[in-house]
Amino acid sequence: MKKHPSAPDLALYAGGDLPLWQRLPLAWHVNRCEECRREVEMFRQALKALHDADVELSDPDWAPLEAEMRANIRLGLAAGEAVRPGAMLEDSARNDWRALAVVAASLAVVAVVGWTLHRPGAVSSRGAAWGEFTLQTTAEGLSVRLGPHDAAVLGGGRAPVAAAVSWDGGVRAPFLDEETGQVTIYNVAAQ
Amino acid sequence: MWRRSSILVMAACLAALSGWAQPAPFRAVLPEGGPVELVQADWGNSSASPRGGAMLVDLHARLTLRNVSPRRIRAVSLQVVAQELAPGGRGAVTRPALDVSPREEFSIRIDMRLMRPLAPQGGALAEVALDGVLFDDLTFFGPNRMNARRTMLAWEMEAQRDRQMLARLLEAQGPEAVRARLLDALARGSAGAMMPVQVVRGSAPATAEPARAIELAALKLPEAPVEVLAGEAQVAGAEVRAPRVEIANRSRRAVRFVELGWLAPDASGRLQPAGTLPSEIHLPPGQRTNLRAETRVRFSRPVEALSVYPALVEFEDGGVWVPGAPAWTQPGLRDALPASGEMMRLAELYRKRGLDAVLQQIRAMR
Repeated sequence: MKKHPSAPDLALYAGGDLPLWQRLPLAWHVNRCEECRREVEMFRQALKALHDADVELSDPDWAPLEAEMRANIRLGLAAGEAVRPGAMLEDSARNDWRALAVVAASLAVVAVVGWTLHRPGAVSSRGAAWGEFTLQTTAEGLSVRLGPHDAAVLGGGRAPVAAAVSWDGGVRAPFLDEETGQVTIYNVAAQ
Repeated sequence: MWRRSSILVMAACLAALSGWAQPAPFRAVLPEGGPVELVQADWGNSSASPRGGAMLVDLHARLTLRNVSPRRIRAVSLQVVAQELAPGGRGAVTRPALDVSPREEFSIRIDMRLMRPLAPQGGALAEVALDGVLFDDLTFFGPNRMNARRTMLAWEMEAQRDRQMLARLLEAQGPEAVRARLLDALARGSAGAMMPVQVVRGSAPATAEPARAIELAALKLPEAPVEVLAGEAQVAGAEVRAPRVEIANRSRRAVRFVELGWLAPDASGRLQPAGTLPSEIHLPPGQRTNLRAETRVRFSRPVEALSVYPALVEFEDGGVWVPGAPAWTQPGLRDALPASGEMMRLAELYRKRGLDAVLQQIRAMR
């Protein structure tokens, strides 16, 4: 392994989530690379800190989490409004402290939830339970995303000449081969 | 000496057996006795790589097929399966606008990335199988698991309609009128062929932005077997929730599938395609029903109004209806309805190879 492994691979390695055929060469590299070893150690400490916090995050349900995040963001905004100059109350010092504490707590919850939703290994068929898909054009073609991850990419680097996203889950997109002038229609069911 | 040789022979046998038992990573399966046979499968640089708890199967393949039926083939659809049940694991690749004579070979290119579980499931990583073949007399062969028949038939009917419209335009007003129509299709395509869309299943959380009800504008299409009577949706900023549309079957045939097309105005007020709402139903002649979607659809900008129209109807007897040529002769409708895939194909052909190439195809495929 001549290059350094990517951060996601190191994170997967630290959590023991990397498959065997990737784990072995990466372990060989980490044993010889001080920089990567430090990064793996940081990932392990972060994992340990999360476990020590005794936060139940193993099976996130998207809808309540989304609601919680929105509520906390609004709470944070409200708290921010409270500490805004001109909105000072009589006991401003005590209110400042409370508002800042609320903002800090809100940010902490948002950070933990955000980290959970993006943690390595979260890509699985459970994506269906998140119940969300996004259609967007990328450099790789037309991307169908489930939650935060690409589930399917269509078209091999080309842009579709049109696309119809189905409101009940799925996409149909015709692509044109510029060499032959032929059309290929791709369908993917997101459910 | 003998012992060492026997060990080597056993090792070689085991290696051969394990190699023999190893399934091919990608497989194409076509039914025996079907109208097409596989000539060659070139899997190119197809690959599979792990990502988190899943495996990404990246297909870049070209299948060469031969028409072994006595009829000309208009379209072929293949289903591509990396896993059957989970989202993002199954898709279809359809080649419409073909004109393949008996014994002729043709190729289908597949550029598709799908997902499957990381845990080994046995068998190939991805399997390509025939889903359907559409012949020039619009008859169909195949298992139709991905509803290929409907897709191919609708494409072929739209293609025939648009080629006939352009041919009539050519006869009546000359090549410059065809050029103007193609330029219009290109302009509309580049203006917003695909509005970024996000679909979320389930109702909105209690903390979501409050929504207001808007009445949907129903486009009346001439000769449509299904009429949109009324509809409403909840709109909150750029999000549309819980649309409900009442439709009536105005034809003499029972309807089993309706696809409603949605249009939303862009920044300049021009209507742009905003997705479709497909519904499997059973609607006898003269009856009404309500179509609903338990989804939320987010657009890239706030939605002020929505229009809805019947884009595709499939009858119980297998017949398919798409908006006919009269819809494109009405100024209000012509500007609102999205250009068909065939019109976009011809417009791209004009952009790449000029008007003569388009006129040649219009004359050849009439």
